[in-house]
Amino acid sequence: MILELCLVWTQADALQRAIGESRAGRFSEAWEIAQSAPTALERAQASTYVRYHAGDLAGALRCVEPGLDAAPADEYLLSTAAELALALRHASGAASYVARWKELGNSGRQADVARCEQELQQLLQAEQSAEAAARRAYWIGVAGVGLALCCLVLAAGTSGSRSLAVEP
Amino acid sequence: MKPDRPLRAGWILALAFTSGAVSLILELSAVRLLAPWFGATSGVWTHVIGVILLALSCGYLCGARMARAEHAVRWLARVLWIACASVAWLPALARPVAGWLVPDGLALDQAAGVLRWGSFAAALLLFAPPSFFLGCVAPLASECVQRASGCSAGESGGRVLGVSTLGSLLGSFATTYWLVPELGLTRTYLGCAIALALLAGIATLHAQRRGVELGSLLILLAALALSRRAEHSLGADWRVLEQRESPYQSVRVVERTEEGTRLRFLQVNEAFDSFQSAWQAEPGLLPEGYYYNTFALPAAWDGRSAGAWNLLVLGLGAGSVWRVLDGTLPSGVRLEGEGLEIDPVVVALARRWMDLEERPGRKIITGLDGRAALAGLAGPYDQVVIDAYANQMEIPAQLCSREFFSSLRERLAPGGWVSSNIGAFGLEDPVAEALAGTAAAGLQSRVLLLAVPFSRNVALVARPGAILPEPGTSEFRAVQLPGLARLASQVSLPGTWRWIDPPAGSVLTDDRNAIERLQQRSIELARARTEQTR
Repeated sequence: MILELCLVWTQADALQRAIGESRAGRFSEAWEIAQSAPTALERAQASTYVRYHAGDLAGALRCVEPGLDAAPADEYLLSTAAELALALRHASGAASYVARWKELGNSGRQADVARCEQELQQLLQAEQSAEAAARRAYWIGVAGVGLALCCLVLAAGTSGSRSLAVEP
Repeated sequence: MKPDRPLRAGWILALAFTSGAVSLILELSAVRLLAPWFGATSGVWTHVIGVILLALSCGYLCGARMARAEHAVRWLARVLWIACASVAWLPALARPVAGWLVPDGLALDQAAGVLRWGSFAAALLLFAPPSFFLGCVAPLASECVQRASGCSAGESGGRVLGVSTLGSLLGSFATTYWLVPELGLTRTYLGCAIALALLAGIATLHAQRRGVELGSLLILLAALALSRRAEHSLGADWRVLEQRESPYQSVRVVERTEEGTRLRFLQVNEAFDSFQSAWQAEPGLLPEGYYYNTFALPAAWDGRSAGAWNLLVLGLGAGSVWRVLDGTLPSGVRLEGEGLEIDPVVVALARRWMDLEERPGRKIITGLDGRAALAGLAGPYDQVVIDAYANQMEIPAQLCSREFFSSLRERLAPGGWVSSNIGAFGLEDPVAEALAGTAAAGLQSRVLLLAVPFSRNVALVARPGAILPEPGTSEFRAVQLPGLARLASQVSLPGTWRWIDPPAGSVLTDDRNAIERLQQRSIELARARTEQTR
């Protein structure tokens, strides 16, 4: 019983200690504590927190996955992953995380979910705009060069045929 | 039908001179017009010059066909009027055309495909039409000269080409040293249109016909009233403090409040989410995410408590580096040295809006390229900072070669530091790897790359001939200032730093430098990473 209580206390303590060290600006110490957390879920939560607040957003996103494998419905990991994916402009990943976060149906975080959904829509629109613009630019280039080549061929061909007629 | 009155050879040569001048003005100003959306890389220059040359070629051949007509003067007038109308509307059309090809709000990595083809398409839509019609002028003018003076085709062609090329020569110098810096792009284009219109009017008087000329005149008059260049749009919470044109680029200072902190940014030809320099009211560290803060680490590691910290900044911009170090150096240490900024307009705006100033021991050098100026600077410097960028990722080739880093090494004091900002998408980014490898080869020392927190930048640090602290060690994190200590701790995490040793393979050199191809590859790889499905 005492051992179990110590284990529970240790589990909670690792995440909280990592958070405390991060807030104090000691990220290396926070990382070591996060890596020593006893469960995969807590390791993922603490590591994600540390990396996120150290400014390594891509690294934080990589820390999320092992935790979601262990606990697919963990709200902290899902919400953080959604925000990270949006910040990194990973549209497909963000869509997946936002959808899974929304499925949890936590009434207390509906506003945050809605905000992420709106950002996701803006991101997807920007992606689609960029792709459309790139296609547009490509075909304008092809059409322009084609038109120029036709013009060159026609003008040169007409000049050639006339020169033949000038022979005495 | 009334016959055309003969047009004197002198007027025809004036037409050729003016069309030659306008052609070069278009060519040299085109990249400036497109730069806010596409940057000013050699790729953009190639696309613009290529399109204009292609259009001119088509114009020459089509003009040759028109020259066979009985009323060559009428054709000459027509093409001049149409060229005039198409030049006049360039300022107003630039933004809608470029905006159609580069949607607002794109980040750099989202714009990979757009950057590859967009400048070519924009040049086709904007500059091909006027260039085509200007190309028609030369053969028509040659025909008219031949008919007016009775000389041979070779003589008339030579005279027209000679005069046209002189016009191009004048146009090229005038564009760089007077037209764009003094008049700006809008007035330059409208001035060209008026010049073409005046000469087209003279041709029209001799042509005795009215038609397309009147329509073009109306288009010109409308352009004079309405055709204005619109700036690349800013977000709603931005405010433009001042903007000017320089011989090198468009420059503006913008301001916004970010999490309660009033920030100003200096932008040059900037598009996407980029800036050249940042300022806040108090000297010292900028908010998290600004790479300038990493430039303060070497002095903190050095541990000096008195004397001077002799700093050379290549790419001073608005002096962000000076301002950060002014607030982070120990109180007994004076910041001295030189700051090089090629564009004097940048310095002028920075003096006015971003507290840039010279102090005893501190000097600003303008008008010189960093590499060229380096030859006249002996040092020795405690630190050299390289931050000479445009559009966040356009690195001048001469500032990222092995020979350049070798010349830096010669100017460092014993134990001196080299710091550089690299616009890159991570530590494995091709630009970061190439630049770091080249720096390691040129400096003959290992180089440390640090992923700047909350940023799309990588900081390069090197210390030729001396020890550079290992990330994560107590020496690396032994920094007094709390904000710098936090930064040192952030970049001590595994995966946020990387050593690069002098490479055995190829590096970037003055002779062979693929930096622009690496930059394009960097954006494409970043784009591919964002598209990976989880």
